[in-house]
Amino acid sequence: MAPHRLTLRKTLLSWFGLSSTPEAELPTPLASALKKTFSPPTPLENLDQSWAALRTRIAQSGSEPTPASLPALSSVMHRRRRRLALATALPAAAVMTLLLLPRTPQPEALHWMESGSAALPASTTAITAGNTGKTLTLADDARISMSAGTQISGLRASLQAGRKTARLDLDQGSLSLEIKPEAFASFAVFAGDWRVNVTGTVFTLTRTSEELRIVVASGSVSASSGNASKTVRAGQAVSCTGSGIITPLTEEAPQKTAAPAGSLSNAPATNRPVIKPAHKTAGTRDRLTLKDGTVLVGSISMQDASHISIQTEYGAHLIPRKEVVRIDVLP
Amino acid sequence: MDAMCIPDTGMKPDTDSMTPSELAAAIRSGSLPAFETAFRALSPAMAVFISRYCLDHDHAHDLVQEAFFRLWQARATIRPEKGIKSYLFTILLNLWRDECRKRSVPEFPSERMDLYQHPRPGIPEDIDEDTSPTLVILRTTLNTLSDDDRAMLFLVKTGGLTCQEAATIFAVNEKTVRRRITRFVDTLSNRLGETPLRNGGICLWLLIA
Repeated sequence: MAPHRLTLRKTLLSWFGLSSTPEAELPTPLASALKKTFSPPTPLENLDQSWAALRTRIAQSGSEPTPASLPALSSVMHRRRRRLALATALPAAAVMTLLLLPRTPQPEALHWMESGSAALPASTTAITAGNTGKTLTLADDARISMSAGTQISGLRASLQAGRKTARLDLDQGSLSLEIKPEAFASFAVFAGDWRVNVTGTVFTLTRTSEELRIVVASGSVSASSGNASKTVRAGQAVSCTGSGIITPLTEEAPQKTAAPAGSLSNAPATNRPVIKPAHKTAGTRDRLTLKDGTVLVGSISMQDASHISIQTEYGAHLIPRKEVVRIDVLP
Repeated sequence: MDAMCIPDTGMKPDTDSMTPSELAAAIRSGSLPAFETAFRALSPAMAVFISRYCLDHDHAHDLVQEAFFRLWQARATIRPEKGIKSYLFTILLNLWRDECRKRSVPEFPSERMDLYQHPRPGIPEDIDEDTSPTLVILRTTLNTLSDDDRAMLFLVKTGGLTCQEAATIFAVNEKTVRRRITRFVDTLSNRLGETPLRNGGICLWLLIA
């Protein structure tokens, strides 16, 4: 019968040298098993012979110590423990690095003033102009004139690392913006799907249920929605509809830089038809359909036997005849 | 004077009475007699220790000789206050572990411990029927240990190191070594004590049924 496990424990601890007071003799099978496992399987002999072999080897290798260094006494540490230590140390180091890194300064909120009165709170959600309209200013950098009934929201302005940024949502109505040139690193007006990026400019935005109308008095703005984008310059007006179509409302000066022969570099985006402008321009209107599906609308003139020149609202294009599959004269 | 020029007379009155740190300092300074003293004192225990891993008498002696040779080669970096025992066992265990890693074999051959090879025939590890079940439990329990814990156990029991010396090798506290050995003893005691209790329980259940 096996001894009580506590007795066995004490005896084993004594056998392993952790206790000096054995409680009892180990059972014979256990003593035998321990001896077979931990004790030398065979006696060692021939120490003299081993030493002679080592001495010969030392003599052959020379008397000077080599630059090799002894292992650090912890080098026997198992790889798993090293990995564990590494796995603990790396996140800790990352956290420490994050804590010690100089922090990026938080953006400083700038406060808009309403018609010269108290500053608007930074967390202003929506602003609606009454019957007389409303004017918001941001120092001398920006002035927003809201027409009667206009509503804007998400009005924010901040200063971070010397760069001013501002944004607002035009929910409905009409805005006139006067933005000081180079005052803002970014000034964006959002109206539905459209984003109007403002540089230094004076312009008017009118949002109705059908369109967003942009009229630029000076400077320029760029309107974008999805893949569609257009830069509207001083004196121009465009109508942006919900389906991503930008329609010029005013005559545009044709671009003087003619495309090189055979090039379509100035052509509108492929497969995107040019929409007839709301205001008909002078001259005949022709529609040119190219092999790749591009449709150009404008005034066609035959340049030579192998090329066709077309003056579109985006500029003049010289198209190789072989690229053209159809020419229509629009009513 | 070059230590290599010291004639090997077999007389080591000075080195025999040296403390471990003095012996280490002497070896560091290139004393071959001191090195021989260390070899004669430590190589048997080292061979016993590593033979439990490599299971080959000749291979164990080769590894021990290599460990001593490497210590001698790098004697300039010995820190006398550490003694040389910890250095030697560290080198020895590292040699064996490197070899296992190269051969992609487990460090501890628990399944083959009875296959110890010795050039002299007729030294079988005969296992009688009474010992066999206990031996299975003992070696199964050894298998549950991590390589480091198992190495601590063998260093203390087979290699003849103190818990403090084993702790130095593994860069842990002496209490950690004691705790891990105690944990092994606890597991072994429980496993060895469970068997009769469980059988008795089954018998009692059968009687009641």
